[in-house]
Amino acid sequence: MYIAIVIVGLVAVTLILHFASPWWLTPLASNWSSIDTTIEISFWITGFVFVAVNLFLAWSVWRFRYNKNRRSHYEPENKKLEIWLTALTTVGVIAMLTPGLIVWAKVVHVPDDALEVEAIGQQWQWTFRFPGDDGVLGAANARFVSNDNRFGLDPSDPNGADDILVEHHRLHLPVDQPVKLVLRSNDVLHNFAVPQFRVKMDLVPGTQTYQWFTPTREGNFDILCEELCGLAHYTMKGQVLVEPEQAFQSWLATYPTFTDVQSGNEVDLAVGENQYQSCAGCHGADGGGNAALNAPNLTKLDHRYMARQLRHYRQGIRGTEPEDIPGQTMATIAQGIDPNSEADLLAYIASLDPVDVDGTLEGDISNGQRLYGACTACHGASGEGKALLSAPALAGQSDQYLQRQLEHFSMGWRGKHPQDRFGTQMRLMTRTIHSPERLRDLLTYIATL
Amino acid sequence: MKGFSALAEKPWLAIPDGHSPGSPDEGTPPAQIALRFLLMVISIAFMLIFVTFLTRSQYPDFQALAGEPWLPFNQSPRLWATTAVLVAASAAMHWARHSIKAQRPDGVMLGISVGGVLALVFIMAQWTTWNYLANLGYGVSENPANAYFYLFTGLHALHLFGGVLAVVRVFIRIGQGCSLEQVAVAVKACTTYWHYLLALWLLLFFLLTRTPETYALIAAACGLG
Amino acid sequence: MTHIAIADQEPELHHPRTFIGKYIWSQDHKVIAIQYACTAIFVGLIALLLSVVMRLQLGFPDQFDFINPNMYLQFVTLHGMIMVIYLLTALLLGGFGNYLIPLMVGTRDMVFPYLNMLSYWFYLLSVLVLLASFFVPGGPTGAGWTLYPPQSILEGTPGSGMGIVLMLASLAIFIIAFTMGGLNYVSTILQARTRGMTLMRMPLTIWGIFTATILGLFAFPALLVSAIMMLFDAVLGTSFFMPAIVSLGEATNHEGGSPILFQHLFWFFGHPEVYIVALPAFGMVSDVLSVHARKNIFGYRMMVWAIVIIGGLSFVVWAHHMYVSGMNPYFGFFFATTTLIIAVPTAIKVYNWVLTLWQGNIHLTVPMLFAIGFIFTFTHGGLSGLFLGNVVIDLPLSDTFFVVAHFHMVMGVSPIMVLFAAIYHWFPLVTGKQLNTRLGMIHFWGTFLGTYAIYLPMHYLGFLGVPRRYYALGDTSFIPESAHTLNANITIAAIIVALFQLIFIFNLFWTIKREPKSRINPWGAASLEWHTPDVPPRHGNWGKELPTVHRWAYDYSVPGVVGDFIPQHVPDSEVTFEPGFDRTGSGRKST
Repeated sequence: MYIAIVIVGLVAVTLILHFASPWWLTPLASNWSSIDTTIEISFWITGFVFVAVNLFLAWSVWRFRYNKNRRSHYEPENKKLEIWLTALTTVGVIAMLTPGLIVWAKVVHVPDDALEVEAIGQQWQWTFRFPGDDGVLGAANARFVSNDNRFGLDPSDPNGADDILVEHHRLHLPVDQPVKLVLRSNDVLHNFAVPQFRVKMDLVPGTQTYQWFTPTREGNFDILCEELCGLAHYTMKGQVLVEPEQAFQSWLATYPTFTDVQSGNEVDLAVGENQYQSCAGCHGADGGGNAALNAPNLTKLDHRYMARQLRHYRQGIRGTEPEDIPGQTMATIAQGIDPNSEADLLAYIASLDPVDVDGTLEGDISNGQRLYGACTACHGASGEGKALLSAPALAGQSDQYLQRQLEHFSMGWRGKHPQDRFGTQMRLMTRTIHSPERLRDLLTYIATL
Repeated sequence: MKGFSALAEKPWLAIPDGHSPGSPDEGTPPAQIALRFLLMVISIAFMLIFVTFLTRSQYPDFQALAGEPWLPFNQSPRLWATTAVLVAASAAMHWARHSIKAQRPDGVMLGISVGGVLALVFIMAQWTTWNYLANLGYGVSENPANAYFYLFTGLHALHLFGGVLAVVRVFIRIGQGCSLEQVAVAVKACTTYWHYLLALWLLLFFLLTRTPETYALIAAACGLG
Repeated sequence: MTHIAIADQEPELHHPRTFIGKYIWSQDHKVIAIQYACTAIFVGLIALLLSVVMRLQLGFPDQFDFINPNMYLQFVTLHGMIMVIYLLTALLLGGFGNYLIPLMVGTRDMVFPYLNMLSYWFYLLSVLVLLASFFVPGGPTGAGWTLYPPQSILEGTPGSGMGIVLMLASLAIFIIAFTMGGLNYVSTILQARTRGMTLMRMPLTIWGIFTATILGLFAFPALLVSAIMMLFDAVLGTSFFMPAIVSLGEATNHEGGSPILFQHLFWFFGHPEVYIVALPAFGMVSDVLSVHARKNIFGYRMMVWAIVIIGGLSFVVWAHHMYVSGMNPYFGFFFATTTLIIAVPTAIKVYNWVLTLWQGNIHLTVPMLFAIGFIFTFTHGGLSGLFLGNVVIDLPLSDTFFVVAHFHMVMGVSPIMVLFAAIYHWFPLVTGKQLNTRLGMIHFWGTFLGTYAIYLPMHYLGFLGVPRRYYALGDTSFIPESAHTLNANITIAAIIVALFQLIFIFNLFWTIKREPKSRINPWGAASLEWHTPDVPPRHGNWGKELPTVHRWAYDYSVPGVVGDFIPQHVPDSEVTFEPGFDRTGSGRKST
């Protein structure tokens, strides 16, 4: 009895939720409105069946509920009825499948004028590559990946020489231009998904996959990895900025070609040493930092890391929080560094002997070791850092500096800017620390590495 | 089974007088049905590995184990020898089966013991082949072709070993005084199993010692190229 | 004739006298079934607990410091794997299959009782190996229940050392256990049916279990093969599935393998697995509906054919799980078509269930409520499958919460509704006592309404694009605050549903301890299993003589017949007719 009423109620709730729900497909930003239409068609057909079957169910339960004076009707089968129902169902299925296959044919065929772009996934970062002037992407393979060839391009393939390497998680695309997105992974399965574009496809190591779409709306969209890719899967996010052709071209021009990256610049250590004198005041002549002045140990930091941080300070990505005094100071100083001799400066710092700063905190080492499990993948089991993953060394770094940075991450003082690709990941990771005690335990353990 | 006509029966109708009510398949002992299903299951497992093997054989890094004079299975006297052992094992089992029909307990005992021992000899011979390959530098992880060789032959040997356990069980039952009728089904099942594993081995032997060109041909024929 | 041979076996049956012989090393299919069921329900409760922990993280991110991303992935993986394999497959086939097959087809036991016993012990071993992975360094694998390489055996995934090895080993042992059981089930059904039990007189429960067992026998080898090959890759360093990789900054020694190959193997198993779970449920719910509506199952033949056709088709739809995997996109046309075709026989089953209720005389007992609940949830879950099966719609929806909601509706909630229906229905047979109705009602309403409250809104998170398997969503531009609130509410519903299951567990113990003996055959069922000389049936099931079957299992409310059902073993000559009716005058045609 109640069950009949409840089923009618559930059908009503389902319909109300469907039509009144604030949660629906995100507004479309690509040419794939036909996918939305197919969904719409399926909704009408399945919705009809859902309502019809369940209302009939409820009615039957109500109408034929137990009555001791009635007997069930004896009818083993009813061929005519069954054939009718089968035929109607078949029609419904065809009505859903046909538009689906027609649209799929379009998904499979990439238009000839599509702009080819490569998206590369690796745990847990996105980078991108454009084919350059020749319009052809050079060959690539995970075997070629090294710190000097971070995209794994085949050096012997001439097509790769002019490829433009975007080592950043934000992809710019011109509006209304069909894009063939070639997908490549260097380690595990990933998936390139932008909900507003509707299409998605896995990245498969060892082979190339593709998808195509035409962005039709300017704006900034999230790229999500939607194929489980390990521990930090949930932090593997990128962005697509769809903008007018001109803005896109000028953005693209700021990125180097493969040849540019390969030809190492000459550095002058003497100039670097000279430059360093203004840093030595806080970071020490040996580069070992100074806890009292909140200056980190530079000798443990990779030159790419430092270059990135200096750029972040200059561009207002790091050190913008008014209460972050050391950050504010560094932001001001970074503005004063001559970009032309920055490479010399970083090369000089890299030439300094490594300094190990001792730990100052006391906490539960074994608990810290457990917490460090989440850090190992990127920063290494002994905190040595991994240049290829852009993860700085933690061992030998001042624990007070690390503590301050982790606090900044969790408070959103650092890593909140959408352009700070690793900062945004660190913000997600620091949330797993939860309490000052656990942070202290973690840092105590790192100091032992 | 009477196939589809059995499925068209209208079970709510009374069966007319004079017709005996239907009954399960007559004659076939359950053990034989179970064995048929088991062989189907094993065949599916091996067939699936075949499919992956053929697919994988068309990748550029695949180096077949035959086709050039220096490759280990270009000439394969070693494998021919193990094949001979397995053929003999199968023949011995067949003898046992024959002896059941002829009501000769000695023949049964002899047949299954020779069949079982030869199967063990075969497994040991496969073991020496693995050592031989490994010593030549064809380790399991060096190349997918090697990996497949170890995988296929290993799984085959494992299945044969399972069969030996079944034979031992029959042996013990006869020793405990079971009559020929009581072990007949088991002996027949073991014989079928031996023949099956021999056929499987011949197929494996054929497949694993082909040249890259043959693989390309087979793969293309199967639509996997 | 074989059935005579079987009838003659009665004196040969070995009746154990000691406690251990009777309840531990038992070869009685009924004891083995109960062993299977208890073990499955036990691991199922663990998996339920895991799901509650991960729902806590999803609903209230960063509120609980005992959950970290490692554990989250491990719990997601183990929850899925346990529920699909170690609970549903084991309980439906090892539990219900074992209990019902010999009783429903009228035999004294499985044809290979010893193998049947081994099957259980291997199953138990596989469960123990699985649980052991919680205690090894690195913990259990966190690769997702699909165990996709390369990530499942690379360092960036939790449990990529011992965890994954134990997982694969446990699966291999499970498959051996299943094969031993499965060979038993098919041989028993094919060869040991009693006199008069034609294939088309078997209850649909048996048809469902039979077809599912064949699917299992043919599909599990794919999982076994992929597990062995992945073990080679993980332990021996081969490259079946592993291409050249730079894993977390370090190059591995693998070269040239194909991760997609694994996915094909996995889903060649994985899709039939859906039906391995669904078909026994389809069968059992048909019988429950028929008994409690006092009406024959509508369109019995169509129901049998649908089961067989669904079983066959389930082997040619596997790649619909792989539309966005990077396989050849042209496969999409084929697999979308086969997938949607499977909707037709499935829809027919739903129609026939509803038509069975139509013009029935419906007793709203607890098993019937669960069965009706099943029709509702299965309709919902089946229809959402039409979205995912249609290849273009899968593009926006795959790997989102829509998928999670869909397969939980169709493969989680629906079979579990049937499992509860079946437990409430057959409990009086197994124990001689009827489960407490009041507690059963509470359990039903909590479970039915609660699960719908979990999964209905979850579909809409999927439309929004909320990805699955995310430890935390972080900041995104397209997920509104209201979706996070919704997520929290789903978690609350999930916890409530989990608590309602405790009522069920309590009911089991309460009934066994406190409830009085119930009537024999309390539902008035016509099928053979309710008509054993002793209830619960004793070892050997049928006493001196095997029953002879004279009719199908659905002679309910036959016109002109006194009483509203005729048991399967009653011959026409013993049926009492109302005055004015006789055999020829009844609704049953005699030709």
